[in-house]
Amino acid sequence: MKTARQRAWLWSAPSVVLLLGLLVWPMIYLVRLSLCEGGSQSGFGIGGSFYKPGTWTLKVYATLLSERYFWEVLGFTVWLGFVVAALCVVLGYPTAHFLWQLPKRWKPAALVFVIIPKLSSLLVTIYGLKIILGDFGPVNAALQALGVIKEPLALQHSATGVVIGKTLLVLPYTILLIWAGLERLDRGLISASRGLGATTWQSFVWVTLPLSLPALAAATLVSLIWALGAFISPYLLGSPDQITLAVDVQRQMFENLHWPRGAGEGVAMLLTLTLIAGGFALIRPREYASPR
Amino acid sequence: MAAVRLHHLSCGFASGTLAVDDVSFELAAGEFFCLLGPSGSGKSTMLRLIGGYLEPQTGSVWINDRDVTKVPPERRNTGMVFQNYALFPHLSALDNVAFGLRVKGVSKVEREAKAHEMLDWVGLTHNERHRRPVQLSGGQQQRVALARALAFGPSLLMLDEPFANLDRSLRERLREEMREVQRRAGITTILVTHDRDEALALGDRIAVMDQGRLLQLGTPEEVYRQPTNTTVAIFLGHRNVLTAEASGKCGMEGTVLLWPERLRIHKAGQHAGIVRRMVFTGSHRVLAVSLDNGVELDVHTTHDAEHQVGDRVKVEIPAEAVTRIPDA
Repeated sequence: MKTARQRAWLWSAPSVVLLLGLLVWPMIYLVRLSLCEGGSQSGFGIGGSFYKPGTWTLKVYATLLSERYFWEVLGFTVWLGFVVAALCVVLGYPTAHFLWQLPKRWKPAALVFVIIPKLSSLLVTIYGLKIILGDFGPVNAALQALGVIKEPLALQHSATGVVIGKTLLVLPYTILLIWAGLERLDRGLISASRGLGATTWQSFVWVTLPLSLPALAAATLVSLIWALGAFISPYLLGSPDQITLAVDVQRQMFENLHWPRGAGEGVAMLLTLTLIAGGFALIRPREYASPR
Repeated sequence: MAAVRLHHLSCGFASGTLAVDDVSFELAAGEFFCLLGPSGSGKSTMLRLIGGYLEPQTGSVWINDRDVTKVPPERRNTGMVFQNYALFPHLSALDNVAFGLRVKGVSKVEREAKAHEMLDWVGLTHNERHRRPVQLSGGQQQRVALARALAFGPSLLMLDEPFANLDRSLRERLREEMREVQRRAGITTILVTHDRDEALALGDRIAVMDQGRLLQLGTPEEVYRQPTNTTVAIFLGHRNVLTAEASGKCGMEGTVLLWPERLRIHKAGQHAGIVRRMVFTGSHRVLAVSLDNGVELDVHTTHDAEHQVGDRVKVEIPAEAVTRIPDA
């Protein structure tokens, strides 16, 4: 007779196979690829191979480490990640707090509003944003009409555009994670705090905030990871001079046709993510359970 | 001077039904007052109205002769022990108790001294004071909640079913200890409970509520001995409450309450019936008798096993066994 544990394994077998086949194996392949010699030297390697199978070299990493271009791309990627994550938390926490305070019957509708941007196509969202942020878009038009600015602001094809776009795409996750954390909080604690003489603000600072720190940390980490992988926003809203690693991987793979280098940058991205997630794990705030 | 005065207080749900329906009463300073009623009777809503966690639709709340109807909870100076204690899970027992002083800006040394004093009072050991709520037992949490509600010097203490989550023996011990703490503090207290024994044992006065209305208010003895209302009589555990129809069959008028210990069983009495059940309680036997006219009565006897289940008996209802319920 099988134990419950063995049965649980059996049920998870399909997803384990899927994970091994579609995540672990490609990653191993990625690392192996980054250790190959590049095949094509020209930018238009038609007919040539994209890498030389069976070769072993650290050339890609040597190039990356010594190359100013790579460090600039990596630097912009990390900068973007932290700026977007910070913006998401600063904008997301008050929103989540507001949603938490809503009467119960309005919450399902509020939830729909938060996830609507995620239900529409990513490209539609970004192209919509391109229209709004364009030189002749409503934002610049309004600012010019009000006389705040004379020349249109470079809201797209710039880092500003990337930050706005990526924040828009990540924010729903931040809000949902913080909101879920707040919903687990016992509202009676706020009543208790008020009853003991704490104002609404004091109750927030001394009760709500410390108890929502774990959710806040989780939301920050998820936002950061999401923002570090930015591809569409920098690709469509950014300037060609300021690109992220994800965009550069695509360039190396399909424009430069240097697969080992693309793979090497992929590995660099994985390492960066692992380092940051590891750092977060170290400072993870404590979770406090209510009795019973 | 009334410590608390409620003036025609009403509060409803969105559905339109009233959770509290035109309730008025006054509490004297230092009084221990019990709000007794079944769940859903509006007694917890009463506490939330007095504490300011809920705003009444009509009527007003006065604490120490000040109209606080529109005052938020943090400026009412009332201490509350919640049913689930609502202790702050991220703070130690000591910090929980000191919280009310901390928000007032009292220095760390001063507020911790006061918190220790309160915890001495409720009898929490020094070891336990640095534990967080999740590391404390139900009874210890209850003591911390009580200390926290008293530490900042409130003018009114409110207790919402504070013993509901404790086992019976602990409940009875803590009940007495808490009454003692309250008496020493001399603080006006309102206890909400659905447990009639608790209300009768603790209250200087008790108020019985049902469906949002205040049915009767008086000392435990008054309310127990002379219920003015059938619902009150039944809720206080009286078994022999006869409707006008049933009492008519036994030759009486109106709704009456019969005291089982004053009814007498004879071989020959006024009302013939049959013993349906018999329970020995230690001090006496409880006989459930079905009279031939359809009325069911509990009768207490201290005699030895004189009657058996199935015996035909006659019940005598002396005048002193009858209390009329005016059903006002």
